[in-house]
Amino acid sequence: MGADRERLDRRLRQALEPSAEEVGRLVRGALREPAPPPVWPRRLAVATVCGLVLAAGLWWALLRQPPTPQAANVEAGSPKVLTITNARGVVTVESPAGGSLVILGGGKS
Amino acid sequence: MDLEATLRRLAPNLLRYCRGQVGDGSLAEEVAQEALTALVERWRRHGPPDCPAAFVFRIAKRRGARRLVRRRLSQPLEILFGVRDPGPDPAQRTLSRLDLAAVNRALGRLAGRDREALLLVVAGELELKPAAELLGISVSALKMRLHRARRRLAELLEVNDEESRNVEEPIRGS
Repeated sequence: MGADRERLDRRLRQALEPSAEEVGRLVRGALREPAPPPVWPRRLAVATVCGLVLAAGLWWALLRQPPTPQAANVEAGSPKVLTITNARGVVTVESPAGGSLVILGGGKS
Repeated sequence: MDLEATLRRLAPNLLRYCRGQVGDGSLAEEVAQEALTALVERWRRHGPPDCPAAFVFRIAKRRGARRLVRRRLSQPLEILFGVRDPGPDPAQRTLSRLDLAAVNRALGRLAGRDREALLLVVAGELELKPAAELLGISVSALKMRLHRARRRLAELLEVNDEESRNVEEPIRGS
């Protein structure tokens, strides 16, 4: 009975026995260091985020700044010429002939 | 404990176990490779596990079962789209001449739990205690399963050998 069992076990092992080449390949494959992740996608992502932040900052600083009139001269009686001075220079607006200027609200001139 | 020596000791046993489990050489090698790679990663990060053999066999058991399910699900589609030839491939035809085909056929006809026990202890040469822990049973229950599996496997192989002899004899006689 014991001998039969041994024979059966041996037959099972022999049938499933891998070759030395397969074992070597397996061990080499397991010991191989995993390849480091590529660097350039990370750099690209960092550069994109930095660029976006910079662009948003510039847009906010330059384009979204509302014109803040520091001085406005309006001729009394018949308002035809309006001069607005702000950080970006002086803007003069003249009404058409015979008309008058009506300032509806704030914002860019 | 040396990592490379442990791998060299475990690799043949693990590969035998995987071959018996999935019944396909290349798939078995993939599963064994994944289990050994997991051991190497674990070893390098946190040091060696208490029982490296139990560690790799546990991973191989789980991943092998997952691969088998995936293969069973994808096989009909592969045949349908002509990706996989349903007949035996050249490598399989060569192997069928060896005893591996007969043993695999017999293993496939064993009850799943008995086959698992036999493969772990006999093919994988895992000791009884860790094998029983891996299967979640007592050592005596494992011994019972082994006894049953050996008896059934012997019967199946005997039938197979007789069939082979019956096929060979007319060929020789002609």
